[in-house]
Amino acid sequence: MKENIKILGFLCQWCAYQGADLAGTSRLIYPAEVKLIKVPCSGRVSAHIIFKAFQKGADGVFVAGCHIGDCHFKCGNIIAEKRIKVIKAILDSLGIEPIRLDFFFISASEGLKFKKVAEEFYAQIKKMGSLNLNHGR
Amino acid sequence: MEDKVKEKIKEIIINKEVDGFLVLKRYFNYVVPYLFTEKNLEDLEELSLEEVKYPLARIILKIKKFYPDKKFGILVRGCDEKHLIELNKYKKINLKELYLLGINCSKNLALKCECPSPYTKIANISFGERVEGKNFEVFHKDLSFWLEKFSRCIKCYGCRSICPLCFCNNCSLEEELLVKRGFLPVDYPIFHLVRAYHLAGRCIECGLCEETCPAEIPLRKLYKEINEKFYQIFGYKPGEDIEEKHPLEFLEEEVKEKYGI
Amino acid sequence: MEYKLVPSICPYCGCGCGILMEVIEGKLVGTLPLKTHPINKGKLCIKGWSVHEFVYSENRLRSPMIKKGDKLKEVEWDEAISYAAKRLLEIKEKYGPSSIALISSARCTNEENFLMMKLARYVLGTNNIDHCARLCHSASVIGLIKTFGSGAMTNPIPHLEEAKTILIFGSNTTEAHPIVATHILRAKDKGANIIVVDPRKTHIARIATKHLQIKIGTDIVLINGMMNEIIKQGWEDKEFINNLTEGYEELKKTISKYDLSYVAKVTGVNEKDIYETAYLYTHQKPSSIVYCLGITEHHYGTDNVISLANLSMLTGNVGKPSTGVNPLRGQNNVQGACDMGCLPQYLSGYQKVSDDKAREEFEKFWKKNLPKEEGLTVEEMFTEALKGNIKAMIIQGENPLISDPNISRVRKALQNLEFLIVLDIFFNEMTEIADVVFACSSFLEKEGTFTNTERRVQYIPKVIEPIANTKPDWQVISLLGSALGSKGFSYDSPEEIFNEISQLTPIYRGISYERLKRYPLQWPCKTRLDPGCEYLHKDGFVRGKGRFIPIEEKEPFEIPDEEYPFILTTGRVVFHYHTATMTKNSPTLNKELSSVYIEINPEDAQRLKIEDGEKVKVISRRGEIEIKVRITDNVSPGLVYIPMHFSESPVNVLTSHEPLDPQSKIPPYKYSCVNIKKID
Repeated sequence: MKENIKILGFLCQWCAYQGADLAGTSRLIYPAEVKLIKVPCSGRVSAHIIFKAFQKGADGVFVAGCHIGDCHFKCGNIIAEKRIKVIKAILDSLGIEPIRLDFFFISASEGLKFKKVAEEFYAQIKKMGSLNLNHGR
Repeated sequence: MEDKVKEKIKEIIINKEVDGFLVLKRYFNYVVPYLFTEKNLEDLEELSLEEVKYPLARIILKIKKFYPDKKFGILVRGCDEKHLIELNKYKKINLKELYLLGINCSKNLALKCECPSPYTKIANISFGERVEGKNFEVFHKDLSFWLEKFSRCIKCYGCRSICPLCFCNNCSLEEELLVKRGFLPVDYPIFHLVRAYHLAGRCIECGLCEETCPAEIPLRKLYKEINEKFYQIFGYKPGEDIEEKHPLEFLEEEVKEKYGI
Repeated sequence: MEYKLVPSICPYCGCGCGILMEVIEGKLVGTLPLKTHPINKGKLCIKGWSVHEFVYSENRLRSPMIKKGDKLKEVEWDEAISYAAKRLLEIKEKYGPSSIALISSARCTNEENFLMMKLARYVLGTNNIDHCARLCHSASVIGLIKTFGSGAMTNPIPHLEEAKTILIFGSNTTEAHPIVATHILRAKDKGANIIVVDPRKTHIARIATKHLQIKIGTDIVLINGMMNEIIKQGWEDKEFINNLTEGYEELKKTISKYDLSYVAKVTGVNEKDIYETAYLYTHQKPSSIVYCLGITEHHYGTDNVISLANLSMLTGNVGKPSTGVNPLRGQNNVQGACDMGCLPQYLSGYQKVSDDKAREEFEKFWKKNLPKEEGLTVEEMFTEALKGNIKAMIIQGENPLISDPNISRVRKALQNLEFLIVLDIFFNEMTEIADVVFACSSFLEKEGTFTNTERRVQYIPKVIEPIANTKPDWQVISLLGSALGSKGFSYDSPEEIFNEISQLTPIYRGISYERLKRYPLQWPCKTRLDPGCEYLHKDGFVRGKGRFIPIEEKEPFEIPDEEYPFILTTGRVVFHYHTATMTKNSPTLNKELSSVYIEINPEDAQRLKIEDGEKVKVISRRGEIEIKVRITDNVSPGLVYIPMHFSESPVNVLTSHEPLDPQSKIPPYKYSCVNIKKID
């Protein structure tokens, strides 16, 4: 039975999600196991949401926001990037591979970058295997 | 040393430098925190400097909330002092209104607590000889170890309830959408992940949580490891500098300076 | 300005943890753990952390009440006491003393239980006094008295930490006795084998090193099988058996037919696990047995306990540190209530009422003859009430309308009484049907002592004043006793009562408030210099030689059939305590879990087409309830589980009050046959 890898991506609506949209309209294919959620700003993605994603069975989670200086809310992406660093440190301390969580800067015009990010992230997680934090509970 | 401490406490209460002083007292065969005022100075005979860890910073916070206009003194060891420094940072208490009587820990206690700085730094007065602390020993364990430990949790909330630095009015751990409730084993590891995140860069590693956990989860060792990594990323250690701010606090100056926004 | 932290003892389970009550200006504001307490050492479960919450609840009884017409009317104490005394005397005159029955509270202090016992025997002239130990550990008291000579937990809780093998029978320790579980977890961290025998995958079963998921009610077969294997392999402790026990040959004969393959077939546990458990218990010593209601609450509960005693004696695992047979008593003072003689056949200190010499001591002290026929047990009281032989009852701090089996029968029995007095601290199902309600103070509002599961007597101080117009139970019973014409109830303080207790009770003789205020003491403590007894049966059993009593396997009293195909078992959760009278009124606890559920195995749920969260009807031969479903693999197919705490769907509508265990009269709570139907 093939192990079904689940990836969850949180994309900010102003830049990153537009980038993903562009990938879609340009018929750029990325792995179907990568599911996307649109958020008003990458800074909105709290640690709680990320933990919940892993608790509910995500094997990899990424957050994507605007490039520095382009954030619609001035510095939401800055705080998001910092936050991700802290959460990675926590995951690492628990023995969970910290690269299961990552942050990317993607602009509205970077459809190709989004495809690459999704593909590489998925490949990375697939190599590590399922996380199974829930243990079938 | 006990006599000198008793003298000092008596002195500052009689001088009205403080209205009350929080310290430990013998109660038959137990040791409990006790608030000395000018009305019960004779009980000072039973003062105890026994090495029993109570959340004195949490208690003084509660007392201050009830009596906002009174001045208080508190007995502090290195860890209590760090608690108060952090609480001062988050504006939960005003260090300027507190009299700190410092006790430097013995070598035995420092080793037992694995404390890197078993002495006070900003206390108004300090008693006892300063000894060197013990450095943090690496404790890394894998995921299956932590999941086994977390599965034992009985959701007593003891780690949260005893921590002087857990002061949120609405605790996220009680949020049903975040942490499912009503059964054991608890919703793990999210309960412990949320707590660890809230304490990152805030926990001063006093060990009260680990001592009070009925499931014997080595919480302090986990938070120590996280803090170590936090320091490597941000160069910030909680409980050290009174003025330093937590790196995840929204800082307008930093954004202007670093990124010119 | 006043801020105090007053040490006390947690009022919930039998662990008896040390707590610190936070008091500001005479008002309770919080609870902290007591760091240097010998049992919990600064740890508490969620109930312990929330002790202060129930005290000021608006559902507290605030004034005594008398039923006038249909409603309860608040009255002053004088009126309530004199009316109650008048009615009791009338009934005693008309029908005789044996028409009155008392149930004391295992949650009230030793002093108060002693006074209830004195009220029954000395004033009313009846031995019809019992309490809820009947429903949970009377099997332990009787079973261990028969085999060892003393019915209490043999070793103290801290000894568990040093055991190398711990067998846990029918106890969901992390949920029911969290601080006992702490010591078991510490032992596990030190490398001990933790083996749980339970038909459910409880929390502790998941943490254990081995879980024997036994078919419900087949413990005797398992234990006999283990003993048979031990003898076959020559692992028994021959020296111990020869020197300290009697009856070995009979036991050996009886269990010889319980070979591994038969035992595996009956219990559902595979042979390898039985063998390994027997091996570990005899080789990785010291080994300890811990058990709770999964063993006792069957109609052969006493025989279950005796089997455990047999096993421990066979292997020399009793009378030494970190060994023993350890029943985990449920209530904070159920051990104390038993010690105080709130039992129909025992005076305080387990001295039989039929024992002339023991009874004479009491008769000399109290200057009155006492009844010598054994009285009725709890379920028998209700049976007699239904027949019309019991006319009046005094029920203290107990809620049989939720906690006793076959609730509809209990309700009919209580409604058949001519007079019912209820002493309690909260409005609940009992206060609704009472004729007189005495509003009593909680444990923080009075001084006294509690005895926890390990025979440790602990002092509790008065922390705050009694709220509103409540009185501590000891004052209420004293007033009632005096109003009934007795001169033996003029106590100025609980300490005076305790001094009387220690004079009349040999196992408490060396205990005094002065000693208890300094440190808790474990009985037997026979003199003022006796430091108390850490563990029992050192160098010999209390009865002399330990007695092997061979036990044959037992049949259940009803078998799953087409009409009632499921087996129902009951239990506790960590967030609530028993009938939730106190915990339902504590916001933190109620927030965690406020509604009841039935645990159903996923296969069964699929077959019945039931979804998680759906409400279903559960029916037994005794009654039916509607309840929400929780689909989980905690239970195996064919087994269902309902926690006992919730009055909205009380599980005891379904459980049976008979057959009672012939030796201890304990009802078979843990086993009933039920059917589950969808609600259209």
